Amino acid sequence: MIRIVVAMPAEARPLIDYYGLRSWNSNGAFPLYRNENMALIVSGIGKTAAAAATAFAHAHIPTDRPSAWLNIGVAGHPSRTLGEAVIAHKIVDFATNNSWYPPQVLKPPGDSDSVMTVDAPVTAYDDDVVYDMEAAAFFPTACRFVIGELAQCYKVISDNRGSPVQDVTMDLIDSLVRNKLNEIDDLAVRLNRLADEYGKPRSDHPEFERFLETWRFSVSQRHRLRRLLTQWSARTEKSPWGDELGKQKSAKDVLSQLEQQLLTLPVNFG
Amino acid sequence: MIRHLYIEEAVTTHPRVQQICERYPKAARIVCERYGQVFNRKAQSFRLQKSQPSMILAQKFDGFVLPAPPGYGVGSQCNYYFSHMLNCIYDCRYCFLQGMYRSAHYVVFVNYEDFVHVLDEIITRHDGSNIWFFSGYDCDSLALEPVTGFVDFILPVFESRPSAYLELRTKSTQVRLLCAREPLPNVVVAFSFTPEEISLALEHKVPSVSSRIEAMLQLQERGWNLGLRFDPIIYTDAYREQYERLFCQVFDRLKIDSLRSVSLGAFRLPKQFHINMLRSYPEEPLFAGPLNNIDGMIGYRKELVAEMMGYCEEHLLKYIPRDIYFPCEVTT
Repeated sequence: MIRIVVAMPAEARPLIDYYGLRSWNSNGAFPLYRNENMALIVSGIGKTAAAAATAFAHAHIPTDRPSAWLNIGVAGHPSRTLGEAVIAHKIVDFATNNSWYPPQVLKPPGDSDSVMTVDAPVTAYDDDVVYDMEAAAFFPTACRFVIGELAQCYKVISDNRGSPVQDVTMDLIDSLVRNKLNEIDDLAVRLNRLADEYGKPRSDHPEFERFLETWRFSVSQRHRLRRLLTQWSARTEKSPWGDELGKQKSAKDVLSQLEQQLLTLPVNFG
Repeated sequence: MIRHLYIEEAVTTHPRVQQICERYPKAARIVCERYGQVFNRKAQSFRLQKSQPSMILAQKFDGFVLPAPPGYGVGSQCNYYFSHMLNCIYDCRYCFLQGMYRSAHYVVFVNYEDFVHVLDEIITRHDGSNIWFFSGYDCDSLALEPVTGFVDFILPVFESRPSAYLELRTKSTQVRLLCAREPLPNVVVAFSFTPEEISLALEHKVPSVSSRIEAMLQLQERGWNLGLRFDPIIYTDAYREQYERLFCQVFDRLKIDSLRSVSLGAFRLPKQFHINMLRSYPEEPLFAGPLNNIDGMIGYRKELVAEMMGYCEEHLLKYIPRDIYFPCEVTT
């Protein structure tokens, strides 16, 4: 499941159309759209809105595995071409000068660049950076829920010195994002794959639930069981379930038996 | 391939930074205030970054040269270690770096000259005693030499300080620079080994055992002092045969008189590092093996360590004299 945060309906519409997203939880604080694999939230413009929407999306769309997060939106730059897209490798909050560095383990679809999050649209384009209004709120908020590698900002250039922000219309925004749908989809697929790779080792042993159904485990015993079963599956593909285990009366005895069984497993590599 | 270079603002114009940038012309250059802003951040994955590490070019301010832990040495009482770089291009599953650092990015401290000032202070303080300096604690000493040029820089330093000894610990076969110059009597190039089967399973991206032996032979031919580091010893049910085969393979062509020291040490890690590594690699069989927590260190139980060390020592001493044998007895 990938979660996308956009600021404006004009940024959302192309994605909703492309992915066939349906309105969900329509009485909530933020418009939410989703399908089986993706959720999209429209935050509104600005840092406070972006932070709130990111947290809202996390709370209202729970998953049992780490998911990827993508902030997609338009942004300005002094000289980059309209329609060009970049991934943020550095994010600076203009108001506080705080900075973040989204780790880059995926090859970006195009360039990566520094993004400066401002509180009002810029008209001067003084620095050689991408100007947006949400990234510095989205990224640190998303990083409360997921590792930085899985939270990325993708910005499509909508204005520059030659075509300033005053000329940006909703139709232009829609069209700029629409033209990048293939690239966005490629990025989303790869981010999802990365999230799966990161989350996979944390999946429970296939027989974990069977243990819980057969004996009564306390919370701390469940943690120990999870750990022991992870160790078991790291060492062998065989099931831990056997006659000796089946005879145990209590969770405590089961855990001891499992530890004993682990000691008897062969130790080799490769 | 490095796609992103993070550069501390204070060193953007440093000549070494510029040289390294020229090696990666397509890499994005990202300026940061201090390397910790990138390297020490929470909410990042060492495991994922290992597949595509970036490089951080930084300046070191303190902790240049530190005393080595007790029991870590090859005959001298004065042992220190230093690291011009953090993290390693190799990905050995037993390596403590995965548990110690949040990030897998390579940090290169470009102010090499400041290391030398501290080295000299220590040498002066010990007033001519034999002092050992170990390189290759937080990184491999040779693997990224073509990029960092650190060994090329530090060798002349030790050439003019004959009472100070340098060990370059490595699993690399990057010995071209060393082969191109005269060997220094106070420098030892020490190669780490595990048996072939264990190396294939646990030492990702590391040159094969036979390639490393070939590299040693090249150095041997040119007269360099060599060391062997069988550390960590990794337990398997077949460890006896595996280590016997390894020793036979290594000593088959190496001349004993080119060896300065041979050390042996069991697998051990501080508990918190083990917790971090387990979090990154919960499915790793090594961490699911017969490990115990003894006084805050994770390792094999004492009886097993004694058995393995005893067995390996017995077989090692068939090849080498006892006076160059140094078992590693690190304690908490």
